[in-house]
Amino acid sequence: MALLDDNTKEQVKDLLSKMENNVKFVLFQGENEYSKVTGDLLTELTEVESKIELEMLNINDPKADVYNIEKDLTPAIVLLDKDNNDNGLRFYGIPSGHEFSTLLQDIISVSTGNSVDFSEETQNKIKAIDKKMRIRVFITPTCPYCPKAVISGHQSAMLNDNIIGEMIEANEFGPLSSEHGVSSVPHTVIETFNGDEWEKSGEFIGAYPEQQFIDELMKAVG
Amino acid sequence: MFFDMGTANKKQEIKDNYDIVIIGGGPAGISAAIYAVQGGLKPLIIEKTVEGGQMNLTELVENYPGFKSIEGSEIGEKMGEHAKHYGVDFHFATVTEIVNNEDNKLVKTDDGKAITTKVIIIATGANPRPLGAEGEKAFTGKGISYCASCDGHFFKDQKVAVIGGGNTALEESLYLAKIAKEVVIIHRRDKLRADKLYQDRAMALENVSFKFDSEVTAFKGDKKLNSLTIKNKKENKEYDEEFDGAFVFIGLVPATGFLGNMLETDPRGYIETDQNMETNVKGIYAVGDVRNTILRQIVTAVSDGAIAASHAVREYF
Repeated sequence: MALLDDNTKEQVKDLLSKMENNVKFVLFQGENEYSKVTGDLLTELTEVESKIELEMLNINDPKADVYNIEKDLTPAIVLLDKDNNDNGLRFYGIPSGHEFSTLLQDIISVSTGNSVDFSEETQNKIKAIDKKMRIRVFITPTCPYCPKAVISGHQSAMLNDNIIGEMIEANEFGPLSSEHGVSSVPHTVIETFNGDEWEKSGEFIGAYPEQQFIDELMKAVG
Repeated sequence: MFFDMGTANKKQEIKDNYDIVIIGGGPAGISAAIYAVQGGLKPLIIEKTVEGGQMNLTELVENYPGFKSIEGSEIGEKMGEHAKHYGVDFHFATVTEIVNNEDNKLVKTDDGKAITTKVIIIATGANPRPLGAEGEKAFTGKGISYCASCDGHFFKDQKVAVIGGGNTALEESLYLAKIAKEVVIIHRRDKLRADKLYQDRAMALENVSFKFDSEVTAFKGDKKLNSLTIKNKKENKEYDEEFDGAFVFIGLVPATGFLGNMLETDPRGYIETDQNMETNVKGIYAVGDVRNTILRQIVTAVSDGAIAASHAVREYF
């Protein structure tokens, strides 16, 4: 059975008419139901809009290393632009519920040359970050505040190649969520790379408005 | 599984002037926008998270005429679609300030926009009120939550407390009872304030129990919340009980932070309006949960919105 009903497909089609250039999903799948569902969902999107390409790979494919996808984090989606550039956009888990809107918004942003919502001042601050940073946003699909937090991370990644922006579906990745003490979403963990490994350098709970969000990023890079 | 398109479905570009700027995209704001369009005006809705507002936090809506039972996020999306169908522009941002100039009004947002308008309708709603007990800040997000639909699943097969005795507390308890092993409703009075329908449903569930005349005085734990200190007011005794999580639903705080002291409010901070929903400042209206009103429901919110927009159309255009 299709995941998206006809009415939803119609609306998605209409929405994605704003796309300019092609985008490409690279989906890494594991041996789990979530991976299968994500594959089905993205396939349905390619059927709705021809500007969306999809490459489905097993997590053991060598390409997983190219994008630094960890073996136990499937399904993992990487969103590439028309020239197959990786802007650091990651979705771990099914982008359903309110996160479906995040996925669509990202598609439109990437397809229109990484257009973002931040003010110019904030954009300049993000572009100036010279440390490798990973913004991990833990969410649940039923959380209406969560897309705002994920979009903030993703749009930061679009602006700066040092930054990776991740959506992590907390229910699907229980151990990782517990490791970070996630029990309320959105829960954002900011990590910086110290040369050897990722190190937690900031953390906040809630969908922060732009000013507070950028303050947290700045604090994290010290 | 559902698929929401809300925030993606927006205009990339908004204009810098609108007839009416509506702050808040819940039922009150959306209704105001629809009535404004019907009156021949061009409204803008500025929403900070997702269209539908607090409706998205409710699992099921069962008291909005025409829908016997509908998911909160679905009715939110339907209302958003309705407004967009009429050409209402949406902008997703947080309003930081409004300025009442002599010849126009100015709305500033956190993403650097400054929009001029003739009329402002404030439909920002309200946020959950914290209990104010010891340890609450420290354990927020570490076992204490104010959103069952967001965080309920973290407490699968665990024991959770729901603090409060109104409709929201009971509705959310019914939702949590499907996920958690045990739900204990802790209420400071000797009886619930919630509507009888919800009371009956909760009482019928085996894994829901009640502690009446009881106040939570402290949240305790280590890295995470692990117990509550509960005071039984009748017996005047205080004790600790283990819980994995606690959900606080004791009422609301109006979302008026960006207003400063610009508008008159009641002692609890709700904006005072006249019967046209207009505040003490001409051309600024307040509708829905943010207003001093006797009932805060979807049906009253949409009604407020309609009154405000209709009045503004006649008075200012």
